[in-house]
Amino acid sequence: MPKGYFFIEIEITDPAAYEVYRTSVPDIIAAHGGRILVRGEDAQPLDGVIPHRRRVIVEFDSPEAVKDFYHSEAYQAVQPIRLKASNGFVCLLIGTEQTSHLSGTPSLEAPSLPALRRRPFELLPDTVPSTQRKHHVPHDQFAQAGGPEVLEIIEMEVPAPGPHEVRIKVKAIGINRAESMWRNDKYVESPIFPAGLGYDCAGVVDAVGKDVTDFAVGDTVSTIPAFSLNKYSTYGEVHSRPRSCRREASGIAFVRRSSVGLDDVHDGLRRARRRRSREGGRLRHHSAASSSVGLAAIQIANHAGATPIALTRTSDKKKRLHEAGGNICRCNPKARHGRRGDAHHQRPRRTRRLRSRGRRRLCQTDRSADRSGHRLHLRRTERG
Amino acid sequence: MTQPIPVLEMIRKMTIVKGYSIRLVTGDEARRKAAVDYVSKGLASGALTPVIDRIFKFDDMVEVHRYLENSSQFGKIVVTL
Repeated sequence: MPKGYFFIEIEITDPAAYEVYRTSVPDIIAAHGGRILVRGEDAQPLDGVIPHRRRVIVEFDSPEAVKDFYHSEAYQAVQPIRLKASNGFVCLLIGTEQTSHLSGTPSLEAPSLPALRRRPFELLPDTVPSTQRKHHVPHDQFAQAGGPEVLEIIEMEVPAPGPHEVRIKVKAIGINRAESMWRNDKYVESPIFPAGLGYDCAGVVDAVGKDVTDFAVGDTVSTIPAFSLNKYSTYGEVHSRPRSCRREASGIAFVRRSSVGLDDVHDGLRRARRRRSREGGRLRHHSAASSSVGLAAIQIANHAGATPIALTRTSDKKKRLHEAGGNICRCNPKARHGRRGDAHHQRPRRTRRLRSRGRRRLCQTDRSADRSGHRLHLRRTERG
Repeated sequence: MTQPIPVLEMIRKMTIVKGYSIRLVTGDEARRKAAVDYVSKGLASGALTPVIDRIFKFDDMVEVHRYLENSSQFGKIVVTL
């Protein structure tokens, strides 16, 4: 059994209040069999930049003992004082099992399945997440940033849902560009490893937390991406979620459900609404028209009475975009295959509006008029 | 490669550049409800139809991400269990 370490790294903002916490905690630690190994603010730099913080390391006989200590009534009573008096984090670190190898006695408790990896690092949330452990299920995760090969499927314990969570038996997962960026550690936040991934899924609720009243076991749901990927993910067989789900009418296949991400829709909806009131009602979806977001935007624009302009880099997608309802499609085979976000990634030429078969279309004109390239000029004409 | 911001061009056109996050919608109860209703109604009436590019198996997740990064898809990539 590895030892468990309770680790604190904080910046004290209110020394007087912190003093109350500091003096009351040692007794609680002792009551749970813990030993304070390090306590204080004297970190001596060896290399790197060491922020001036208070650090505390307490050793317990097992990781479970750390959780028991943390969730104990006595500690939970003083924990709000610490939160108020300081900024920083608290986590559970799991010790290596070296001691059993050194003493020569084989550890009987070592997991026999190589796939059953322990999480070496676990953040203790400030709300109690789960108490009971359940069955093991496959779950996709990665231990370092990089290409697709860093993904591996591991068997993981599935916790019971927390008070405000529902647990979903996943039937289908919608894949997002964001997850590739997340895997590469090039996203709006950085992953804490080992990290799970996935925003969208559709499935059936198989357990609900005690405070959840609007969902019940057996409900068919799909997820709303209103969470951090460090806290929740959808690549796996069973997942707990905050209550950010939407109930679905029966009769829609899971595959279809999982493919409707709310982000797809809302981005388009927001733009369409803003444009609708204007004369002409154009919606310009500048790039990635063939992505699910782009296609959703086309549908929403049409639904809202706006005219979608779909841009794509490859000519083979042009026809399909027309069929998908993109009234105006441009392809620009000469566009550089630049990075996403690069202003020259897509470079539509100057376009002008023609009337054709009763529908307004754009077609390409002389490029020389606009050598600077990446700006798309649309001349305003009265609607006929 | 980073592109410099074309300041003069922006002044001339009075361009507005705004970042957008899904949290603007999901973080607000009323907006979230409106969005969910819109999607649900759209799906029910057929005004919105999911476009699915390709369906993979869960075990092929590495392949899925390779496929995603090729940018050749037309619509959503879905993985079933």
